[in-house]
Amino acid sequence: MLVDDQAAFRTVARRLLESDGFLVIGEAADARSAVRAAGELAPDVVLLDVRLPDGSGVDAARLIRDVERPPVVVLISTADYAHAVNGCGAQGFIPKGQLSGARLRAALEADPALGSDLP
Amino acid sequence: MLLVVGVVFGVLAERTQQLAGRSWPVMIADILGGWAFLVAGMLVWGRRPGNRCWWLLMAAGISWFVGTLWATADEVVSLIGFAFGGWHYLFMVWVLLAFPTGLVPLLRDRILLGVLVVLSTVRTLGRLFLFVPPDGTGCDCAPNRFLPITDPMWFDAAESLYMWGYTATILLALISVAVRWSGSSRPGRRMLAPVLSAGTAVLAGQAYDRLNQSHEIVDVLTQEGMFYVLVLLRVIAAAAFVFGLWRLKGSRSAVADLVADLGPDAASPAPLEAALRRALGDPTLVLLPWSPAAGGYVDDHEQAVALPVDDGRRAITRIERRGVPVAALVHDPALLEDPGLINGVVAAVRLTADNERLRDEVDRQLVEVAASRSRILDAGDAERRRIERDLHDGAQQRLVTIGLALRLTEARLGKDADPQMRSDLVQAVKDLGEAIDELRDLAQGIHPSILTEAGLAAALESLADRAPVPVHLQVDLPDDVAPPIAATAYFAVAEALTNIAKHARAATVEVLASSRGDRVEIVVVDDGVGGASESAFGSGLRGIADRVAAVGGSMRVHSPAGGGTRLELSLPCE
Repeated sequence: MLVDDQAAFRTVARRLLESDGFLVIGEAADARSAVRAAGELAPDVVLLDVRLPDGSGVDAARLIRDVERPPVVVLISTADYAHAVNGCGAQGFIPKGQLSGARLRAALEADPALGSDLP
Repeated sequence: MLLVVGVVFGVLAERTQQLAGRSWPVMIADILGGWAFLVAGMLVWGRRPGNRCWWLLMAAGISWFVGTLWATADEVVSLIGFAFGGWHYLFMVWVLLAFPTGLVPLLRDRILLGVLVVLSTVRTLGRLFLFVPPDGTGCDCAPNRFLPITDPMWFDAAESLYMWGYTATILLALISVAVRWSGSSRPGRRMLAPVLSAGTAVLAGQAYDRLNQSHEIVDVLTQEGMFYVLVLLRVIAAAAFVFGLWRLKGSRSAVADLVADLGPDAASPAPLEAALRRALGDPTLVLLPWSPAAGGYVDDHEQAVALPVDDGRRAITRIERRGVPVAALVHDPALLEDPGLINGVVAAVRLTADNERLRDEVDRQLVEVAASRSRILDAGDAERRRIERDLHDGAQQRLVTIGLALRLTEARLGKDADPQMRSDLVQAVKDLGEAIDELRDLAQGIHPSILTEAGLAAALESLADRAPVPVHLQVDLPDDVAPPIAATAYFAVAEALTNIAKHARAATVEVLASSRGDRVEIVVVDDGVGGASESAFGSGLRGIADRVAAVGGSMRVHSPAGGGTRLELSLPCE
């Protein structure tokens, strides 16, 4: 699932990831929608922008951990938020400019639950 | 000029005495008796030309020599000396009553002076028109030239009236001065003491004249001895007047001492009152400041008080500035006898009040400036955050999206795609990536989002990670460092690391951030070449110093040549 307030970015990112074999099952434009969609859609992975219009993606990541079937969260941003990963239970951080299937795959490989299911 | 005239006049007058057969010691004593007052008058004039006492003293000196002229051979001059010989007493009593201001404020004293003028005039007229010289029995007085009077009765009556009237009036004048003295406080008595001694001299002189004319003196030596005593007393009196006025000069100095004594605490009433008491020598003095809030004068406890009645036992001096009350002094009335002293004190108190007002004004303006600087800093930080957010949400986001789109396009190019096109696309993606990085660094430099979202410790870690020189970071900070303080500390460390990278040629840098009490302490130490002086600071570090000062902190730089550079910041937590 993709969470970013910029529709153009979500569109390009979806096409980029899907071209690399990922399936994007949903999108959200703000933190509240992201938490709700994570509960409803039960994605395996949520690419979560840190700076969202209604709050911090870091806070949203903590809430997403509490959904019934918590997904792996990877933070994305144009700024450097690598430091925020540990505090919210995210799996990793990818600068938006470097987003690609390979980069996402590398971030997820550290999770043993996903390692075998990665495209 | 007046002194020269007086001295020459005295010498000429004594010359007539010499011709009349007077002895040298008597003549010298006589000339001293006149010159003493001439010199005293000149000294007073030199020190305090605005004080009228100087011309009274000179008049007393010159008129002393007038009486000496009677012995000259010239009939007219002799008659002048005979007729006007006693007027020097008038001027002595006058200066006695007018001391120390030269004015005669009391009605009783003005009446006494008027009586003396009348008596002196009566005597002069009597000597001019009523005197009948003895009939060739050896008297060498000038004959009456104006009226055909042969009976000496009227002349004797006029002389007796003058003698007894004058003696009584001088006694009353002395009593008046004594009353002034007894009713005065310590400073007043100190001021009037010379006047009393001068008055005694006048009385002794009068007694001498009285005895001299009573025909009871049979011993010439006794008569001369009395004359020497009289001259000595005149010299003492002249010196006493000068000393008294000189002491007033000392009182002025006391005002100067008062001004110097008005230290930083003197603006409050109690120390100021103590300083005034010391300066004026009046332990009973009370200072009552004016309170606009109370609408009146207040005491030590800020309680409104009514001023006592100005009844002669206590005097009240109101101090105002442009018609607005400042304070009131309740003091001994004797202090009013030296208006210069009171005026000086009033000026000093007004000066103190002005100083206090200006100090309050400066303090208030400093508080306003500090608050204004803080507001400017906050506004600047808010603007930085807005610009950074605009960059992040706008240009950065669009460029990132374009970059992704180009990469997607590149990925979708078929194997048979134009190699040049593929190469151009790859280069465009690469250039765009660099542009995005530069834009991110720019936004980060404007305002590090990490500072707002993760706090100072994380922001410093981020700085250390990105620094071109290895940084050993040690952070022990609370989570609730106020945003302006955190931003100041962050930008200071960022600027220091930038300078180190540019100039220090350091191998390692140590950054220590800790809290001590209610202060945040930041230390940045490098092992570089040192030698950085404050004047050599770049505008960046000077800006940081201004920022540190604006939040109430302090900054120190120690940079000995060859010994590295140590930057220390101490900032309030809030």
